[in-house]
Amino acid sequence: MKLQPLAIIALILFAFNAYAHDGLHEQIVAVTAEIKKSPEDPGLFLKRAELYRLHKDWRSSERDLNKASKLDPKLTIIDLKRGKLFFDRQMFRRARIVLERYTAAEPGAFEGALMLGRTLAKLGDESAAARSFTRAIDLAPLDSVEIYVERATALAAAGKIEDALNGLDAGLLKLGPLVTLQTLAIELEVDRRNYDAALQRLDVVAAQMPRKESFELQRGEILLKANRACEARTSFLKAKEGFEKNSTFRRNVPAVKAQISRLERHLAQTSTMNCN
Amino acid sequence: MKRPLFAVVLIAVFSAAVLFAQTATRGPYLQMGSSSAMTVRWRTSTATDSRVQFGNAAGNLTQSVSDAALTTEHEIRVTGLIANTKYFYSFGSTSTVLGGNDSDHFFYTSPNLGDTVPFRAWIVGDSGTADANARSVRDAYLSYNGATYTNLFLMLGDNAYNSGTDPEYQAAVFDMYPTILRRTPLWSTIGNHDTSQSTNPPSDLPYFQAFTLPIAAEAGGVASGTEKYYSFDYGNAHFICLDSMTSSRAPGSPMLTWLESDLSQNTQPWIIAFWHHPPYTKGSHNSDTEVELIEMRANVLPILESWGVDLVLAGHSHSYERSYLIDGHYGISTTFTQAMKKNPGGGRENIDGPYRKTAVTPNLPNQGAVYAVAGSSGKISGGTLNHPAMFISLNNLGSMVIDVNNDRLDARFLRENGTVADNFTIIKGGSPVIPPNAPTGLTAFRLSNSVINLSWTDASDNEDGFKIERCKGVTCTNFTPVAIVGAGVTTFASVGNRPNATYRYRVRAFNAGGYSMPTRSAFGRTMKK
Repeated sequence: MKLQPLAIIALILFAFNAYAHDGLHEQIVAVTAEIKKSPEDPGLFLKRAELYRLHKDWRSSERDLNKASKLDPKLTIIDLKRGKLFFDRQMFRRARIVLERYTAAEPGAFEGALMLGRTLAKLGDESAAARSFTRAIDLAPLDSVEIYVERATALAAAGKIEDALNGLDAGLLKLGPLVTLQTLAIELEVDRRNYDAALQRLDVVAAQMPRKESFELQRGEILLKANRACEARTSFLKAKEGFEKNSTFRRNVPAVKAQISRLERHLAQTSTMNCN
Repeated sequence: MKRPLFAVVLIAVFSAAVLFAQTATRGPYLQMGSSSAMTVRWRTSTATDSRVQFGNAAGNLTQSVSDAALTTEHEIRVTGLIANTKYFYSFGSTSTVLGGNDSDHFFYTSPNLGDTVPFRAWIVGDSGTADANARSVRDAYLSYNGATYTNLFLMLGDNAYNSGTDPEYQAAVFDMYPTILRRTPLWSTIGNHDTSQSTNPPSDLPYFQAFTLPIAAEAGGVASGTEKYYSFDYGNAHFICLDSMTSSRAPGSPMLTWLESDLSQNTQPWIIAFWHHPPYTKGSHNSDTEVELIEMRANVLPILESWGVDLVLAGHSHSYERSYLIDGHYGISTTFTQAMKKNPGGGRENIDGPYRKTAVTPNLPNQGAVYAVAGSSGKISGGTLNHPAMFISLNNLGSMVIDVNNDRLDARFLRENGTVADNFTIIKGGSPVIPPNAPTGLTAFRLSNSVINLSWTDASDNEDGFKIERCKGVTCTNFTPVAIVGAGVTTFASVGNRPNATYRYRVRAFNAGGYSMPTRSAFGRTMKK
């Protein structure tokens, strides 16, 4: 029995792929064995389709989804699985169609809302994406910081800064004073030149942190943008005091080095000011 | 007729009592230990209220915390504790003590922030097989550890195969490690099998149901707002748990924003990070081809290294792979260069010296970290095991034991048979050590058909020893170590060579500061047979 060259190449490629995703491959083999025992179980085909998708074996994944659909045409979850498959393949328009159908059929499904939000964001329909993210947040099984950020980013991209900030504040209320949400909120406040609000938010973050110097630097930079140069200089001097107490190690951390460099520039820039 | 009726009633009452008797079906197990608090969790067969009694001596539990809510999943946060103190405890309901109040149920609170109290951590990765393999790894550790208190218990993900279901968690975690779980707080990171491969896990995911992990900096660090990634402090060490499975690993993502903030606020000298997907591996997974591994390496390591991370632990590959002390390797394995090794040795005190992070360049970040894959606590799956960043790669079952004592970290890979198959030491602080001068005047003289004698001149007075390296052929460059000899030694007999063959030798001096440049190479040709 002679193997054809193409077959040999395919075998090598499969072996390489299998090796690269050992855990997935094991599971595909296991589910395939289950399918042999229960060839009419659509759940098993769905399970294997998901594993094939993670394995980036799009064709096999689609084939299993088709099979599951044939076995049980009423299974709405197939649309979610197809949506995820299209999303991974960056076929966002097709993903949108099936995910919209899925979320209409299953309005209480968290993952459907989340995937639709991400798909709409990729398609540039930020307002619709934000609505979908809001639904995902309402349905979120876990307190997911990421979805709040994704929603705010979509809203900001759609020019709805106020809504974006309200959304972040809702997250802060629910999840606590998280630096991840407040950082984005500060950026948005600065972008819309609402400097006092940005400073207030910065104070909230800084209050929780033992090291204040980087926040003093940021405070000074916001004040500079607000044309409050003397207040800015006061903040820069406080930041300088803080950085000088840092160990040599900290002062050499690239991120801190960059901050110190910015601080020195700002101090030089504000040195000739008469702030008395 | 009265007697049979009485018997029936008696049996019915007895059966009801048995049926409704509260028993602990899971735990107790400890979570989120800090210097002032500890969470005690357990599961019961029937819903009851919850109570933990605690005190400084078994038999004398003077304080208690209760929760009136009826539940089978009990969770009591004991607060107001004194740092670095031993507490005994019992658990149950307000009417029944289910267990404890004996010498077997106790814990130590964490030391105060920054205290240099020695501590031990036990680390298992991909341990969730619930079989003889996992048991042998566990028993090897319990035997090795003896009566020493284990301060921290880390799980590197894939804690319960195959899909992280509740029964699988029961078998692979709670029934597997009951002794350590009731004495030592467990800190876990999430693996692909804990979510059944999902990147958007559902609300009832057993991993999140079973564990209580920090979301609001309950044990130190900066609040992450999620149990998926978090940090905590233990004495003079800062531990960072990341989520390589379900959270975005992209630059600017919430996890990385949080990470930078957390690191910028850290005040502890030791930084130990852990997550599931390893940045470097050539075991059952390949860090050159898999997206989670690539992204963690490319996006997370630059941040961690710039803030001075010391040790990174991961699983996923079912093997043990441990790197040199390295820095700056963010590409695929073929881009690894010798210059990325901050120390070309194994970090073994008795052989080539420990890794000294301030030895070469004092007080600077990016002085190197050790990366360990410890994913063989439940099974081994082989692989090529040849990642060039690794000092050692083993296809053996085992776990890691880490001891931190002030400015010293000792790590061991403990095999399932009780032997220590790898060890290394990292030392921080102290005066910088300057590497020794290179030895000079290496000569090679053939003595027989298999022995070549070497001699050289010692050009330094601060070496810890010399490393002799050899390769075969006149133009060879693939030097491999032949032997290490002590300080002041200037001769060596290289045995076991092939007859009538040419070998190329070079010698380097070393100390805690690193290796000298090698001598100019010398050639020796063995005699014919």
